[in-house]
Amino acid sequence: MFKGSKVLQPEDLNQMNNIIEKLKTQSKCLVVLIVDDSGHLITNTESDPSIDPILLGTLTAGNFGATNELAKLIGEAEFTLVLHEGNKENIHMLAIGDCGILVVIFANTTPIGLIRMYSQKSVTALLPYLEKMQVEKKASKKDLPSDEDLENLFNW
Amino acid sequence: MKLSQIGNKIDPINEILENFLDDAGVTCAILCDMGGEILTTKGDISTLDFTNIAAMAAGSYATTKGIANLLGQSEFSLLFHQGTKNNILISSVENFAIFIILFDANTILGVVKQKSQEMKETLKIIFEEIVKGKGIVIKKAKVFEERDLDKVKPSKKKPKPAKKEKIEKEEAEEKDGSSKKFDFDSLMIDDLDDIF
Amino acid sequence: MTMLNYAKKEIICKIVYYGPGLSGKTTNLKFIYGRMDTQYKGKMIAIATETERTLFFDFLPLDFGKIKGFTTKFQLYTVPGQAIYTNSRKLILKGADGIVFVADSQIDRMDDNKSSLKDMALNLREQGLDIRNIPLVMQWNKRDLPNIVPVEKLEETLNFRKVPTFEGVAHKGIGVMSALKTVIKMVLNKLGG
Repeated sequence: MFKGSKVLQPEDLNQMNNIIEKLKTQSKCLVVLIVDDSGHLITNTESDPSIDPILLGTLTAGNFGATNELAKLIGEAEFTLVLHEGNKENIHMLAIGDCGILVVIFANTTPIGLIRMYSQKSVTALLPYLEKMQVEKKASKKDLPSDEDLENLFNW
Repeated sequence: MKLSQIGNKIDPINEILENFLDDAGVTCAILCDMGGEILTTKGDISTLDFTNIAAMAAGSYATTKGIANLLGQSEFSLLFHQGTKNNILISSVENFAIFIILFDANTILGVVKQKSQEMKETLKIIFEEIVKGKGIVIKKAKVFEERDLDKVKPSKKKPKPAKKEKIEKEEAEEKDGSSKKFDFDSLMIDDLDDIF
Repeated sequence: MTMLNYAKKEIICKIVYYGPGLSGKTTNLKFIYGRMDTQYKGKMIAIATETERTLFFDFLPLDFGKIKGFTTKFQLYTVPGQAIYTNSRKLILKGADGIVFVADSQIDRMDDNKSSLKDMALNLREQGLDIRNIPLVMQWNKRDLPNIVPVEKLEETLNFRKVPTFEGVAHKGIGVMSALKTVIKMVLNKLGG
């Protein structure tokens, strides 16, 4: 049943919610989101009801993906700091292993040092829960089609 | 703004970029249109896949624009990514173009920020001149299309089913799914028919 | 990858519309957005250039509501078709549960269809996904235009897996909902099996 899906149990979600609520209080940020590697929103702290967390999750996941690709293109494994500066708010994003992204939105009056420190701590705390969600491992390389397989697939 | 619209104004633009490179001490600068098509590059880009860098930077910039929209602010004026050796800074000249600056750890971020701000201002003047001179209208790249989409709501008429059997008749009976029973084992496949 | 959230009692799946530039992927999503009743759809995002070409992706969340306690959500994405956005296409495919391949039926676009299909196979592989078994349907779009390839030829050339195909005129909605419904069924079947 449910082959290839990720499973999120209520108690794990509770734990993750506790972690991000704590992050919000300690770092004095505005909104925290956890998005999985497919762009699905896992959870978020309560925020302004006018902000659609699903859209925010999708856009931040897309943005983080693009940023990671950029890193690879300039020869970096990943960026150690991803920061977007706005006229009122800033966004800080961190990878949670390779399972998801932590997105922290904060007022630009809040010191970035504080945000970075607590965000990093939260990532460490969140990682086991996100890893647990991954019930099935990705297909290994040998299961995937080889170049030859693909050539044979389309016989043009 | 497209390269074709810039024409011979590319020379002063190149000059501005060159000066910026000297002043800020950065490795290279890429200027592209809002869609990620290269307008010009300066500095050492020999080892870089700059076409893809520009395309990705444009995607990154557009999504932050969407995020800004959602959060109710005009834009994230500056995107900064720090790596172990290389850093990257992305910003835009209004809706005219995006610039991407690469620099290493020896360069001071504060200087890059300040100099890029100055460059932005001078580039803006040139772009405005082009727009004025050629009567070009720069359309804003849209991120949210809600309003447009509401306009194109399809008419009540059902689309004509095409001749061939393969094209299933389109069903659009929008019943309330919640009243339907849902057997989890059947994975709601039957319910789909009601929703569509 | 499908997320089964027991806490929020929801299932979320990702469907990606793939195909060459200007084949009608965004048009498919726009039609679905227009056709779906408000209760089933969320806000749509189109990240496009000033000439309205897809720059990164379009996104349309569908929410089929609580049925027997579980909310079933499908998130539809399109990829940008233009050649320069190859990295973006790879990114969008990440965690895809099902694919709608939108081909352009016009004779002079056949090579683009072929290279897009090949590009998709490679990009799926990069994301650890296999074009030979991922839920897939194909739409032969633009059937209303002159100078189109006969369906038999499209089937022979592109439908390497004999997946369900639909003749489409996306801007009129022909072949749009049926393609979506079929891929959704395939995704759910795969989850169940």
